[in-house]
Amino acid sequence: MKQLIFSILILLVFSGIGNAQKNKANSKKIMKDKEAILAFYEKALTVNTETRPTAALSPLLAEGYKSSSSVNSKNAKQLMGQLEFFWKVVPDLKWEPQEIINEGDTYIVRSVATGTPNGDFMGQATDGTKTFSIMTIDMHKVNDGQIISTHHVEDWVTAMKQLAPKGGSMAMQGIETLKIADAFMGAMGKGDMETMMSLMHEDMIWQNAGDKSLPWIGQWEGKKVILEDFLPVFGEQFKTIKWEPNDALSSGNTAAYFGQMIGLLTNSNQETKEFTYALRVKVKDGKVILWNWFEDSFEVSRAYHGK
Amino acid sequence: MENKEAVLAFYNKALTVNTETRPTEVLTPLMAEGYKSSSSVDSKGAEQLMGQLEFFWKIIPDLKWEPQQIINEGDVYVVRSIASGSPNGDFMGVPTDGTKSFKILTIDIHTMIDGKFVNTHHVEDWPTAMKQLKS
Repeated sequence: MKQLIFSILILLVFSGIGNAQKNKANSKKIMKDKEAILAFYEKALTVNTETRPTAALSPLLAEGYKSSSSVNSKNAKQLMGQLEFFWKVVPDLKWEPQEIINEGDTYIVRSVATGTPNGDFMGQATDGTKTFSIMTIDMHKVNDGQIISTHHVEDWVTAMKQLAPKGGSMAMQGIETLKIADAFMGAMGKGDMETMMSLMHEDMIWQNAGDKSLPWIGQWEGKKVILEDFLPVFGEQFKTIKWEPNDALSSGNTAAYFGQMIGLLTNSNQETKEFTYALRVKVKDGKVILWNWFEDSFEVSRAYHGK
Repeated sequence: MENKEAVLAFYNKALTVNTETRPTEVLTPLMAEGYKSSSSVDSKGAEQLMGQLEFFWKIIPDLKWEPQQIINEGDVYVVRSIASGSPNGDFMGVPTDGTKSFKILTIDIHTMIDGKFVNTHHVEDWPTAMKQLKS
């Protein structure tokens, strides 16, 4: 009898140890899974200087990982690509978990995502002056410290409303952009320096594609550089003989022009043949910030060199 | 009512159009006092939520909200659903005529006490719905 009781006691003690070990292993596993989840938000979804989305996610995503929204699903590589793009266009992107719910191997994370995009963000032209702050909820399936799959929903409708320009729709904003670009072009045609200067943004960039051996080809950065270094040289060496705009389009802060022209290169005293030009203009705070010029650069170079 | 039963009633009887009941009738006994439903910027009380659902029922006569997965930790229930429907009328600024349907992912987080909803955080993929209705 004594022996039996003793055996039962031993059995109880050992099974207790077994359970404790199991519990310990289990809490270790949860810790590992939770760490993976937190790294996803802190290192890949939040811009930081220590790592990059691809570097942070590579060890965290299991083979065959799938991220699903309503209709699309992304694999690990596509997700990393999207995040690399987000880091570029939303340099202050933050994704802060507010609540983490766990049952078994499933983790739900409710976050607040914030950022100030600069560039084309989901079809919305942004310039780094407006910030979004939205709720997101993700459901991750995790195993052994790696994320197997994710279902995610973000309140992008609200983000788009927050990022929309105060001046109304993209179309309305485009009309304003075209007005400013037209005014600048008109002033340039008349040689009205005063009006031109009043329409130039301090950080304006003037970009001309073409043969680098021509002194005005390249990128000119800043109002001062454009006025002092670029315009005098260009004005002296290139005379416009014909200028015929055909189309002008605009949307948001961007305008595009297409037309026909002929120029005279004073270097060689040769005229170009008639060619088609294109111009991309961007406007910021009511002033021209980009003047990106495309011409038949081969023809212009040929005439410049007198060939 | 048990918490899980209440959660299911929310989707099957209030968010999914049916002939047996109405959103207000279903939700009135299920909402705790001071209930709050929060999205990114807005929050709604029980009455506002019911008003919105009554409007949804009218404009989306085939509205369905089907739970795909329910996760529970303590008082908190997370529901991943597929919401679908064919609106007829002005739906979130998009004119619709009942010929186009949306089908989107939604995730809600509910806190429950004694079979009643205390609060909800919800996100729906409305941009995809808008695309589907405009296409």
